[in-house]
Amino acid sequence: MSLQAMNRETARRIIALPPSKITREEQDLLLLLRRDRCTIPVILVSESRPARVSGSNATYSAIADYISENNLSVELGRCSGKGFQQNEPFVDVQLPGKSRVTFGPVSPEIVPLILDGMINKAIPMEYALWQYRNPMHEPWDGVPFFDEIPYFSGQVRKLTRNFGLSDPASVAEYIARDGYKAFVKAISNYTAADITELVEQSGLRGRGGAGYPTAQKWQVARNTLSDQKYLICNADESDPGAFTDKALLEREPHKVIEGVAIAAYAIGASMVFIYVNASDSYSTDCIEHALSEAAALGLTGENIFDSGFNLKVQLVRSAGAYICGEETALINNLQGKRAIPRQKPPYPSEKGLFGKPTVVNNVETLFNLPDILNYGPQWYRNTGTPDSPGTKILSLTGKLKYQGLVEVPFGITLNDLVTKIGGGIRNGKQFKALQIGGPAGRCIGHEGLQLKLDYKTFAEAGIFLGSGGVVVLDEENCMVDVARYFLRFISRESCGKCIPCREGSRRMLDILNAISHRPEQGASHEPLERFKGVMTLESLAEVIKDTSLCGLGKTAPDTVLSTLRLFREEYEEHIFERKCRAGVCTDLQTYYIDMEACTGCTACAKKCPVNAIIGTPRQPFFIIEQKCTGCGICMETCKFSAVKTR
Amino acid sequence: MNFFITVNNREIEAVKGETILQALKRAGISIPTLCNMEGFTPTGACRLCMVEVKGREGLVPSCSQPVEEWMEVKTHTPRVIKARRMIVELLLASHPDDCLYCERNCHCELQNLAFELNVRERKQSSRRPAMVKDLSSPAITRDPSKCILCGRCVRICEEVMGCSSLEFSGKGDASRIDTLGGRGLNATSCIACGQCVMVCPTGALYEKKKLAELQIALGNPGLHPVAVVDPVVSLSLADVYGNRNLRQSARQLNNLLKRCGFREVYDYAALQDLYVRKTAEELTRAEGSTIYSSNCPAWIKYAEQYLPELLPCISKLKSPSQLAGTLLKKLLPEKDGTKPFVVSFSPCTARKYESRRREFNPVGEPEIDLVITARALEQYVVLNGMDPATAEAEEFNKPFQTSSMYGELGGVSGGTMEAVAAETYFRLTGGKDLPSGRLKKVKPGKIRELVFDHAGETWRFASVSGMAEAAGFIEELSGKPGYYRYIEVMACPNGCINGGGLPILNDDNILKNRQKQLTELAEKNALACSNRNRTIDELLSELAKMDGGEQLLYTAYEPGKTV
Amino acid sequence: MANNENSRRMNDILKQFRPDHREDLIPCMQAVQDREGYISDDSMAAIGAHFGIPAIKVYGLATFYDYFTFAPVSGDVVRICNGTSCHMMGAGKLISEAEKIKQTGAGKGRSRFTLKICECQGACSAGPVMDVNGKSYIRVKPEEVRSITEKSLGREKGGEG
Repeated sequence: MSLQAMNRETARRIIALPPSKITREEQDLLLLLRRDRCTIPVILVSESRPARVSGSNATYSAIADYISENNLSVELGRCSGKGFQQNEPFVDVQLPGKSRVTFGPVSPEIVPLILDGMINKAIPMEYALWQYRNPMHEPWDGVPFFDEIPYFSGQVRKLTRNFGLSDPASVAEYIARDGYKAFVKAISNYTAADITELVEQSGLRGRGGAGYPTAQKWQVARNTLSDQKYLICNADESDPGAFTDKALLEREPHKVIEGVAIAAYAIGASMVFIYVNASDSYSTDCIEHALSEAAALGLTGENIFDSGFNLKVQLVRSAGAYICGEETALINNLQGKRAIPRQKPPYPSEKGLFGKPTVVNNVETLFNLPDILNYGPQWYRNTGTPDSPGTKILSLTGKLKYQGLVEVPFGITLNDLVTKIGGGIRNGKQFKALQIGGPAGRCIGHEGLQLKLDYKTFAEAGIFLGSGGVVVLDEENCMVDVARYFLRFISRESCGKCIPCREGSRRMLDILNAISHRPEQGASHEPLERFKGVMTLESLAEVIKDTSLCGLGKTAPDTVLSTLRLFREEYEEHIFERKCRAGVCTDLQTYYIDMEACTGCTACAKKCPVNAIIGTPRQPFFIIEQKCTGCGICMETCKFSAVKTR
Repeated sequence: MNFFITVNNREIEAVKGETILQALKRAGISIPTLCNMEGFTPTGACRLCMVEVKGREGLVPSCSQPVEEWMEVKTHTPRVIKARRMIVELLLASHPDDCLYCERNCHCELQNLAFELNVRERKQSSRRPAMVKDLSSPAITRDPSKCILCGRCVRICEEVMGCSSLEFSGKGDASRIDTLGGRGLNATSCIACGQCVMVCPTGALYEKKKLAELQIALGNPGLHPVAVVDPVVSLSLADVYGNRNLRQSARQLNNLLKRCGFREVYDYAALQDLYVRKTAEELTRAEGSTIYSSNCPAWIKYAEQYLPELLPCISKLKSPSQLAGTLLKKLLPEKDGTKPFVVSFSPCTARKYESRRREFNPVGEPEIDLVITARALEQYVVLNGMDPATAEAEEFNKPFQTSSMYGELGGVSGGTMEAVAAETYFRLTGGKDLPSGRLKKVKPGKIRELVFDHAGETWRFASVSGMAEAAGFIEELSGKPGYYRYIEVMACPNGCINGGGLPILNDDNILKNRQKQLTELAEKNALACSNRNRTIDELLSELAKMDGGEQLLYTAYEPGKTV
Repeated sequence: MANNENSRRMNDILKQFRPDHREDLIPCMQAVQDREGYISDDSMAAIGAHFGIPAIKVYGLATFYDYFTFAPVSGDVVRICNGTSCHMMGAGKLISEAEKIKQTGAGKGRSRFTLKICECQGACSAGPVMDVNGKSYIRVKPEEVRSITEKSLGREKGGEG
């Protein structure tokens, strides 16, 4: 990299001083770091999970090879993911004086085309997706602007404004974008009470799911006398359909650290645990690197920036348990125990980790703090709704044209989310339902699309927002299967302590299994039995919600109940007609032989493990439906594609 | 501070800091519970004790919710009852359907709950993966298919017995209570004390009864069956039969046993006297170092596993049960060509393990052939169609017929210690009895101490029960070797009156009652210390003539491997 | 001697964690899992001894958390994402295909692999996502599973498409 990262002294000056006090050279450095100005062409390969899976590492190598082979004077680096998962791998190209253009998908084969074009100061239009607006740059003709793309214009990208632009592994780039100013200002010029007051005014609500007002939670810890207080930043996110928390750690880890530090100061915690998902090392590596950079600059440790504030940050890798989303379970995990929730009260803010006041905040909540302090509570309240100010980062996935990490203001309707941002259902299919809130959430149908994203509105409708996973479904999804998926997850991830959740979620799963699978040999599952099972679901769900010890149990029946309410006919088809209209429950498919195509070769009959296929050689064969177990071996064996399903 | 709360429209008294459940109990309002254990912090796992509290949206667990002034509680609304029934139905759904064949048929907490809550239909069923019974331990069988995961066994094994042989494993629907890696109990740190059996609400944990073997032995003409009966056994059965006169009850039991087929019935308390006599001898020879008791087999196993450095300090005397076996096998002449078959009736499950120890089973000739618990004996009496009320009192047989008052006190924690102290005092003072009133509780709970001075020396005796507490006590003592001359260790809290082989009765006062009864019984005994039991002298002289002689009374210990 | 080597390795790991700090227990177990590839009975005993707790407590923890496995995994690993989005895109059918291939291919070298179902990889628009020994495949259809596994198994680990 030709760009020098800033040295320690410069970095600390820039952080601590107002912009008017920094030198001309320092300002120039910042312009370069922000890519407001560049002296030689800059190529940045977007680095994220979707990028990796699409082969961005090979693209990077191809570009590096091309540059060295052709002896080009070009800067090659990385930028974070953009939140748009289509057309990866992305490569951003910025020529001096011209705006930055994003190309995609750029496979190694396309690299020469892009780079050749770039040397000649022309860009291959067929791969150019958008260009970024910058008053210091001359725009390109014929390339849409980033903020003109509906996917992005429908969002309000405040928290994620640097995603896809900056290099997450560079603290210098973070500082160039006002990084750590809020934290140092807070500890130097404000008391912890002041900070809490500011957050209170901003109306920030916890983003981990329940939407509890953050300042109120802090206040409980602040009011409890103790020699030691703890802050736990929960970035584990074991919600199977969300990647928001991971993205925050991977795309702007320094903002996470800054938010964590501000919160620690506000509650008086000298020790912070950042709890990350360890199912792979990507997030851990990013935050670990950032922590070492922050420590090197004296942003953690003793007497930070001479303020008298001490902060120790410890990274803890989660060991894999969804229940750790529950505060008391997480605390048990940190204490080296099985992650079993306990009765509340006492609340962790009064008595938590090792018996000390402990605030557990979701990483996205903390991610909001630097902006609140930099721009003020009023600015913060200008977005969102009076009850839920600010924006929410969501993992928008499913059968949409456009999927990815989106940031939307509270108050947006779910319909706008699906159509404006998501671009509607892809492949010409129809919207069927939307699942929000992960395993603790529920399904929402057409009528629900009018709902506005807002904690109060959702609470009144009985919907749990959760960590922000939104999955959009079309007619090729079976709602019984959707309910089964979440119940399987819950019954596996339940901590196992209380009977209603442990046994109850398993019973609900059994009932759904019975209606989506054939009975085993010899067992009889009369339609009436199956129907009774479904009736039991509702009263069982009621008791589970009434008696479960923690939120996981209390919300476990929600997806089932919501799908049952919205798609009752589909359930009844499964029960009485043994039919899955979406074709997902393969066990319910009936196998039959197309009489026209069958040559009577007897191959399938020989292979059938239950002798369910009969016929005379060289005449069309027949499958006895009652005997058929639906294993599908006949279909695989048939060389004439005569075995079909319906 | 006391105040009032309203429960079911009635005012009841509540004490600040207690839970709703405690207040309800005191007021005589009963609510079903499952995971709740007296003396343990509540976990709120079973959710059966939920109640409605005005102002709270959901149901509230009464076991863990503290009382608040002006609280309004409803304990039996339709909503609450529906919830309780559903919870029991959920448990039954994955429970095997074999009540009729189960060990706990007729005294199973799950059965009782299903009955109380009027669960009359199997609305749900599910199949759990097949689980194998653990038959490895000679004392206890584990049947995980019946486990309802209440966690009582885990807690008692960890917190009271300090062994942690059982633990929760897995999560969600794969949750189990397991031994380490699913291994057999006999390969774990289990000391066979049977406390887990006592607290298990279902048939997931039960002892190896061995009644079939007993039946066969009693019907075998080639055998000469004899019984040795621990006083706690007859005491506990007296409870069951509602018999107030304990001395008579013991004698009646002798009659029942003879009617079952036992040729002779011997008093364990006499062996306890022998044990105490020999211990005092060991003590006076010990020259100041501490001696630990050896009559609790669970304690021995614990020491071999966790305190191997302490083994040289433990008395090498066999327990009274094994002493009985050793001596009877030597004493009983083989007439009519029959072999002696010694059955020890005990309140203890660890004795089953003890009787199978290698050193107590020289080739072909086990010292004790069978150990039968009080629980099993109760069942055997029923099996043989006998009505305890019709039994006549019959004396024990010689030579183990008479016991001193201390012989009878062995079953209470502190009993052996006091006996040894009295015996030692007798020897040191050349025949004086220990003045009463020297026993005192050192700490609240189960540690007791007895001190006397003689010839300028202070003799301190201590007794401790509950293995976890005992382990803590022993560790504290490591800085004061020889402080106590003799320490009696009983693994079961409060001693054998709380043994793992006793009838499981849901009575909070049972231990206090048994302690009181045993003490009253002993006080009526004229022989004030073991030394005054002359029958023992005769026995000892006989012993001197046997081959092996006095050595027969002693054993050795080996450090055990444990996890 | 293999055992000395094992204990030396174990001690190297253990000494990084403070025995009187219970919060170091799970990170210690994770370090052992990372180094050894699984948690063995001996490891549980050693970790328990280091922290002064019975090995069964370590067992209880190891069976609770998904991070820990109990047997060494050797050979090829096929991972299929079954996060919510991938599942709704049909990952379930991929998984049954893979299981079928495992069963019917038993005995043939190529089909002996470990199948791991994993959680959301964060690449949902490219779903269903599967990888074989670290090489990713996106938008996989059920009928492609067989050809992907047969093609990739036995190749070197790592690298990407």
